[in-house]
Amino acid sequence: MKLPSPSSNGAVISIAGLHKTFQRVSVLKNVTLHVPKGCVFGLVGENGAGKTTTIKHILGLLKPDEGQVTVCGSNPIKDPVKVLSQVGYLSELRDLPGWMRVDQLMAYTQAFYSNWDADFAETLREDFGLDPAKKVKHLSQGQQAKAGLLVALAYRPELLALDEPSSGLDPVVRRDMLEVIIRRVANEGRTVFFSSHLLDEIERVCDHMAMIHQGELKLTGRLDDLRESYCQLTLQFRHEQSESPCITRALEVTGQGKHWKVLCVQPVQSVEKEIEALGGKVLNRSTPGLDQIFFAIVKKHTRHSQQT
Amino acid sequence: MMNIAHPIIGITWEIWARSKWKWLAALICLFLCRLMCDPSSALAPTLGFGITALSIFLVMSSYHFTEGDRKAGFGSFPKRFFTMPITTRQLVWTPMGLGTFSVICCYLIAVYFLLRPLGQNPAIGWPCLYLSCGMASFQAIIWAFPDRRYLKLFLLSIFATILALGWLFFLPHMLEGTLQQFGISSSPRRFQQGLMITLILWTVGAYLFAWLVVKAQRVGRERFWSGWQGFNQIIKARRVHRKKVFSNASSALFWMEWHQSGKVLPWAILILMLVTFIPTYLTSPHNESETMAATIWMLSTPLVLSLVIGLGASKPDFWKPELNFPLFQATKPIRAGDWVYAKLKVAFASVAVTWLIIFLSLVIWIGHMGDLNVFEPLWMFFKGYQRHTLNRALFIILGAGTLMLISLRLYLLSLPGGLSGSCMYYYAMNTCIVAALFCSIAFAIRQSQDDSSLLKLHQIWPAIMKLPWMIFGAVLIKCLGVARVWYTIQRDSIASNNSIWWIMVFWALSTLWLIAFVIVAIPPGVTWLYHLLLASTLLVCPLLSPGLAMLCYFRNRSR
Repeated sequence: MKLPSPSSNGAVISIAGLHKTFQRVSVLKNVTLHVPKGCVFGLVGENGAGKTTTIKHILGLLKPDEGQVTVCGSNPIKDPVKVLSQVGYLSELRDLPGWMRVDQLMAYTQAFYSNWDADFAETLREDFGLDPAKKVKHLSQGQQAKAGLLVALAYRPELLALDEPSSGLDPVVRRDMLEVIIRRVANEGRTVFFSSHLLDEIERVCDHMAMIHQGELKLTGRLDDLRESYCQLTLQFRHEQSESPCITRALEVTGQGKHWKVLCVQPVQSVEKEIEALGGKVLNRSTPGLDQIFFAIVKKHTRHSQQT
Repeated sequence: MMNIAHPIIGITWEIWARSKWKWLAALICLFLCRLMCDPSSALAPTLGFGITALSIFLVMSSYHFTEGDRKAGFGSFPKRFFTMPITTRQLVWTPMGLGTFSVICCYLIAVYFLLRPLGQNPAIGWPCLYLSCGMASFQAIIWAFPDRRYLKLFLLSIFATILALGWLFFLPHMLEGTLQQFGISSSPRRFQQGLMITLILWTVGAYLFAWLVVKAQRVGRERFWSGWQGFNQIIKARRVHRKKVFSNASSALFWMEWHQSGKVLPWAILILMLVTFIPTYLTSPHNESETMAATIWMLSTPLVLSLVIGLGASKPDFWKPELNFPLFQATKPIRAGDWVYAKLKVAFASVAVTWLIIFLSLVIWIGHMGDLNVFEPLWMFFKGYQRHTLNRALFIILGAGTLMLISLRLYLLSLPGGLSGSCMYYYAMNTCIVAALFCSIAFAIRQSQDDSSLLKLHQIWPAIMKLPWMIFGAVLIKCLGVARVWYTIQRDSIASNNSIWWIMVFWALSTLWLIAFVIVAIPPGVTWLYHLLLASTLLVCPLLSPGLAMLCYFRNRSR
């Protein structure tokens, strides 16, 4: 399902019809995505769904088999210097050179960006509690993530691309540091694009999101619109149901006996009529959580692929 | 689906899966040599032993059993095995045992399949013991000192030197000569037996050492001794931290490259010089033959080491086995070509510093410890050949520069392969380079034993007469390649104009330098060699390989 998504006009990232195959396995299938300027955009999906591959296309580290990727108005393959000078990137692998000291890492990165803010970098280093004389390889995983974030932020990039930024960070740092920084970047009118498989994180931080499953984009749009477009109905039937009731527009039906829950796409009127026809009554309507929507879509997709 | 019933079988299977390609390459080398080498040819023994050495080197290198450790910054014993339900002895001795068994197998295959049919009859006992000892020591060194890459490099250099030269002591005539020189009255046979016992003890020691270091790593102690750690803390505390600010991206890249790979060659040379000169001075100072041997050793080592270290320096990271670009590097806003340009500058600086060390060492060595009389006949010949002082000075200056340029050429030989990101391409290229090196050294040693060899060269190798055509063909291919590659680089803006300009200028100047050397070095009247060398100067200085490396990196960066 694709909700009204921002048009490609004025989008910081525009991906259209992106296909990528690795050794005859399609890892991205017709991905189309537009990330508006100044938003926090979350890309959610299970491991191996294609999140990192999408980010690598944005950075120009992978060449699309088909389709087009535009970042800040430029093609990252044809003009990597222009694109990369506007993008701050934090890798999931935290592959910073271990032999560098923190101060050397800062000085080295500074050389590549004309708009490096040395004071801001120093403030960040102090906030993160990083010892400038310590070698990167002697930092803990969380500290390495912080060092990576520092060098990705200090030149105030137009687009901050974070690949699984919270992996390795403890919950306190994740909430207090990462989310605050992401919001601060967005408030300054810059864009944050990050991937995660933590749905609660996406729900708390993002205002736009896309859901990717097995290389296909299943959902994309504003988070509020997305939530409102789904509805969860709590049902009660007059008689016990031996198997789950067949409701045409339901994404997922769970429960047993007389009590069932249905997750469906808005508008729900036609679903309610169908339920009444089956002898049921809607007891309650609620807005489902993102995790419920995600699991329902994944399950439906898995069922569908098994049937075909 | 295969059934792996025990962790030892699992480790064995993994090692086999990793090493099978190198095994295959080694067997193909032996097979091709057996197929193509005529036993009656004078070159047959040289080629046979050269290919045997190459095959053993290939097999040996596949049993390092390490994995890139992000923290350590150098391959170390794979830590994922530490959680397996297996004792450390089994964990360590399985790859060691397999490695020992494999090098012995490789040697025996070479002896029975290649060397004996070629009419050679090498010994079986001591070489097997020697190779086992070498394999075990190599594995023990590479697993120890996980975060001390320079210490590891130092030990590996010493180990490689001992391994490359130690076997000479087992040759009867060498052994007798050495014993006489040191005034040892013991019989060579008894001495050899003593050496073999030493080898056995050394091998056992290497097995125990490897077991101890991995055991320490398994319980979280990176080092199994504590003294070094304390010393290290003192050094760190005294070090003054200097925050360096780079003027531009180019200088930052140069700094990073120099730290990662540039300083390896000068360090390796410095270590080798110390390893060579101190024992030579202690055993026989002011000795004619030692002075000459040390001079030849000094002048030839940088060439060989440039090639060997260049194989590693051509990768994105010298210290890591992976050929893919680290994301940290690949996401920097810099053109692919400019990154390669930084690598070229570092290569040049590295080679220049190395030769500076060599020339300084030579002056110090010959001036203080060497015997100048040994150069007397050589100097007289040189004076007769270059009659004017200016010519002599020019010859020496241009010759020194030429040695440097040849080193640079060798250093950059595998650059396109290393940046291509393709393991197959990289290892195939390296195998060809190492094979050519082995064969050239073996050929040179063999020819140096025969004074009339140069005159007979056309009989041994009839293709020598086609050399001018081969050089002409190579020049033509290089010209076409250069035009195509640099056109693509310019069209796709892969490198900045500044980088392209400086590479072209460097190529033009260095080629002119070589041409000047040929003009000065070749006496008038030797037209055939003169024209041949003039044409060859167009091939020596790198122009096509930097361009190819830029294209390879560009494609490796955006796959």
